[in-house]
Amino acid sequence: MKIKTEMQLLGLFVIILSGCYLVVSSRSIVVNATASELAPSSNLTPKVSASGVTGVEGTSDSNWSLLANTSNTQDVNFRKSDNAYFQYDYEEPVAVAGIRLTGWWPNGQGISNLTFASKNADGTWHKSDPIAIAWTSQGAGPETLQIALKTIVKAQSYRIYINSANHTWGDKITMHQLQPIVKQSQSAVTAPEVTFDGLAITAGTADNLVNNPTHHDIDFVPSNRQNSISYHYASSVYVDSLNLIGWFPKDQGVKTLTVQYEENGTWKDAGNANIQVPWKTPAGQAKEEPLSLALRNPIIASNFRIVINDYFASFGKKISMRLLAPNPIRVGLDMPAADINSVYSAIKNFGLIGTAAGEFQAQAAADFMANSQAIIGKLSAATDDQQPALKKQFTDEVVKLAATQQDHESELSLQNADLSELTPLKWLSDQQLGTFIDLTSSPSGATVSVILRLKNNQAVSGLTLNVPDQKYAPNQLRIFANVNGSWQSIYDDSLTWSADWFDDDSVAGQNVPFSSTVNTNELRIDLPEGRSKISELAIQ
Amino acid sequence: MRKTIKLVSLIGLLLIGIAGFRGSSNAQAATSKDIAVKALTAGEDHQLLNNQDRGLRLEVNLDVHSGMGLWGNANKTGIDQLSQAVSNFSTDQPKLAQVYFYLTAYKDKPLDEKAFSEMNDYFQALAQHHIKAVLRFAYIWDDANPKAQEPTTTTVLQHLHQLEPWIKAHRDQISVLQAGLIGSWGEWDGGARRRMDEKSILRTLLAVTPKDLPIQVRYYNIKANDVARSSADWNRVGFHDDYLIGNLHEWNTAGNDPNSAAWKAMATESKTVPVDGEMIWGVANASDHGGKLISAKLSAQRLAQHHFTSLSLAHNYKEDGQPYSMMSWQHQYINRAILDRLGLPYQPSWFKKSDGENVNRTWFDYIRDYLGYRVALTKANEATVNGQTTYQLTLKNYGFAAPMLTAQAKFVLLDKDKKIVAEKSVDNFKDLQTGSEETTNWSVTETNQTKAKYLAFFFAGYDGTGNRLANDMTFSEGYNIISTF
Repeated sequence: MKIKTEMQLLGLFVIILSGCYLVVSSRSIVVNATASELAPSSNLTPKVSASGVTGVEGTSDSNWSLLANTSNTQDVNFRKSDNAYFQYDYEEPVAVAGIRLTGWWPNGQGISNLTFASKNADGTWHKSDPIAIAWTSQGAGPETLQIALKTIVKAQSYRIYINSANHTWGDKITMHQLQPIVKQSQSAVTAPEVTFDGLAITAGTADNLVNNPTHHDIDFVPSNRQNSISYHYASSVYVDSLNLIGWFPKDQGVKTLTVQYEENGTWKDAGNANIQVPWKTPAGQAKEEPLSLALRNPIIASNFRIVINDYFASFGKKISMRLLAPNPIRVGLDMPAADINSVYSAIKNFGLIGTAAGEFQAQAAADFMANSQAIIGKLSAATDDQQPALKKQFTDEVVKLAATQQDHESELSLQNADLSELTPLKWLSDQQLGTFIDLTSSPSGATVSVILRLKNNQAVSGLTLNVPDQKYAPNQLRIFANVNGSWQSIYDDSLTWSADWFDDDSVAGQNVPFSSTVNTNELRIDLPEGRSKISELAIQ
Repeated sequence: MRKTIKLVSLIGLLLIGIAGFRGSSNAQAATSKDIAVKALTAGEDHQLLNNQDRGLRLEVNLDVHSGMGLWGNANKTGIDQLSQAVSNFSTDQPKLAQVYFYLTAYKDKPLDEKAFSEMNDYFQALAQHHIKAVLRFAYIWDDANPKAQEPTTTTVLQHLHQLEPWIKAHRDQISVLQAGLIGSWGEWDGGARRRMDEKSILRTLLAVTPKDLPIQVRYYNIKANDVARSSADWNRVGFHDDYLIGNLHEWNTAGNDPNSAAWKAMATESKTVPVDGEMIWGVANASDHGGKLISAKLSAQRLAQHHFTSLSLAHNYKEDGQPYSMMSWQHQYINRAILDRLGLPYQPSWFKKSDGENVNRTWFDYIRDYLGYRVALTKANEATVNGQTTYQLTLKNYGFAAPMLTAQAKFVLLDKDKKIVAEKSVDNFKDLQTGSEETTNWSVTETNQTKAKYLAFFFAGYDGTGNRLANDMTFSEGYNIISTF
């Protein structure tokens, strides 16, 4: 809820600024941005086929689609012959910004060289130059690489040719993912978190480097060690250029820089080291100069770093800029679409239909699947303005579906947390692995609590907790039982969730044994601060 | 639909009534009633773990010369090792143990009294634990020096003839016998198969063992090459797959091609012969499985497809205190939507509590409970016409495999002292395949019906110990009590 409010305020702020621009012709300094989404919705999920490729060790032709599944952790094993490729056919043309590869023991059995190709309107294929894959992991991994294309291309069909692979253990190739990274149509990229390393800021703020509507000077003093500015985005973005605005650029601006990105814990530059900034404004001239600085090689990542190698210092040891930031095009799921997809997928994979408590009525479930799929399809092409309405439509579908569930006898309430509109609270204890709740602690900092009221006094000895997503699994629980009107602690410990427990054909869970069996009709479960997703909470 | 069923039922009852009226001048009224049958629900079904000849199994070993264990158990007796294994896996209630009898010390000489004494003592310990053996004789335990421990074919044949009476005497404690004998751990590696006369050894093994004792071989081609298809033995040779890693592998019993003739043959033949399996050791996941745990889903699919009856819990579960795949399976929850999607069998009540509410289960629970047979009475009806009672009783198998190791299966009427008044054998019971139903119609004379106190079902393996149906019903003295009069 807090995030939503901030976004609304930000939107209002942008509108006001836009108004200022129109009235006084003052230029607002904002990094140009479009956004991308790689959504597993019907029209952005390609049909994957193969040529010159033979599945082995349990992999068959029906498994190729796993390569385009962003959450796949299953081995896709194959052998290749000459001219082997995977083909990705979309329902409609999509823009592609890069290639995503996830390897397992990648230096032993992963792809080592590939060629990307897009299908032209005349049916011919336009091939990229061969791309060498530099896996860093010497162990199992999994290791994911995102390779940016030199330019974003738009087509309906793509191919990834496998030129060579690592064959430490024979000619089998094993990958988890191999797929185009699709660029989203619209909507803005959330501003990155900006931090300095080695640089002491003396005027302006770090955030001004990416968003500086008042054209404020941002002054920073370099140190004798590496001087860099880091940009942390919420998700991966495609960057093929930087946006800079200098003031007295050849007197106090950046002279040469290196653009780096973080991949699997290592900073790399993808050939973008020591780029000279081609300022045109002569030295000594008080002029603001905007500049778009092309990278030698585009990058897809979420963490970037601009290392300042050299700078102009006519006015002393101080750099002054009015903008210095990557120009991002976002790739990857945006949160509303991701949330909607996760609710849809859980119900599709695990939803129970019937008349017992928590089960969905059959026709309602069928309607939900059909209507939701249509909404998700529209989401991928929706503009910013259209997305809230689609989210509302999906929420309405959830409400309709949930209304057909026969309620469980226990009652639930929530304290100090915002519950996603997509996930009704009753889904916490409906005996359905196909449903979950998604909650975020309220800004007050007060403890998030779920209160579970049982119909009768019961002897309870523990509970089973299921979660759909390791990222949002509660790592700490405190549980209290209401005994004669006071809360008695019956569990207070951390929880560990192994990545091995999470896959598409099960929902992770663990038993939480209480310190003793208690008779109670009310339990309070305190959850950690932040966001939690819980599929099921079943008392024992 | 419900109205139609009611109408049809009404017409049926009217017809039965008319038939009864026309068939008897005394015109006694015919009665027909369904006997209430409850399926076993979650929370109660652990009682099925006591059933024989199925399920998760231990793995133990004995040097029959020294009476000691091997490898990590070399410092304790084989019997102590067995007790330790039973203790380690007590919550899993295994009723089977793969028992390796290593004849290594006798590779150059006949078995002596000491060897038989150790084997006898060991089987006595097994009996005390109520555990049956998945038995394997082997010579080579040191796979680094296989030839140093390898016997000649002649010695193996001599030992088999010596073992013949011992096997016969202990038949009731042996669930299945694995061919063993050849290669490291009796696993028939290619080198050993070339050095030994495998056909002679296998055919001698078949000749000296009771004809009702199933024999398991490591690879499908062993059966195909060494056993005559026309012989009765063909129908008692099953399989053990000792390289289960989820994904298919060339070291699997029928190879790694599900479209191969061997694969399909194993799928068919495993409907009538028992299949045992074990995963690789958890410590070998790094070298043999890319450092990953073994997939529960892929394992379940394979176990179902090839109708496995037993699976080792010594492998890839908890080894030396370290958790491996099966521990992970205990944290992976499923519901019936998943099993429906994967086409895997299950008993609907397995996902229900006794109050009808849903309950989620784990992949571990699933594999533990559906190995081999899981048979339930699904319908029971009692009709009486002119004093003669006819029972119509339907059994259904939800497990991966048919209850092919059943030696006897029968419906019985018992008197108040649980003595049999009348019985009706269920001849096709051991062929009851996954998802299949078998309905028995049994007419009982008025005299016998009058003497009866209970209607029950009894099924047992070779040793005669009664097994439980997957029903919520009284289980007493080996009998599943369907109805009390």
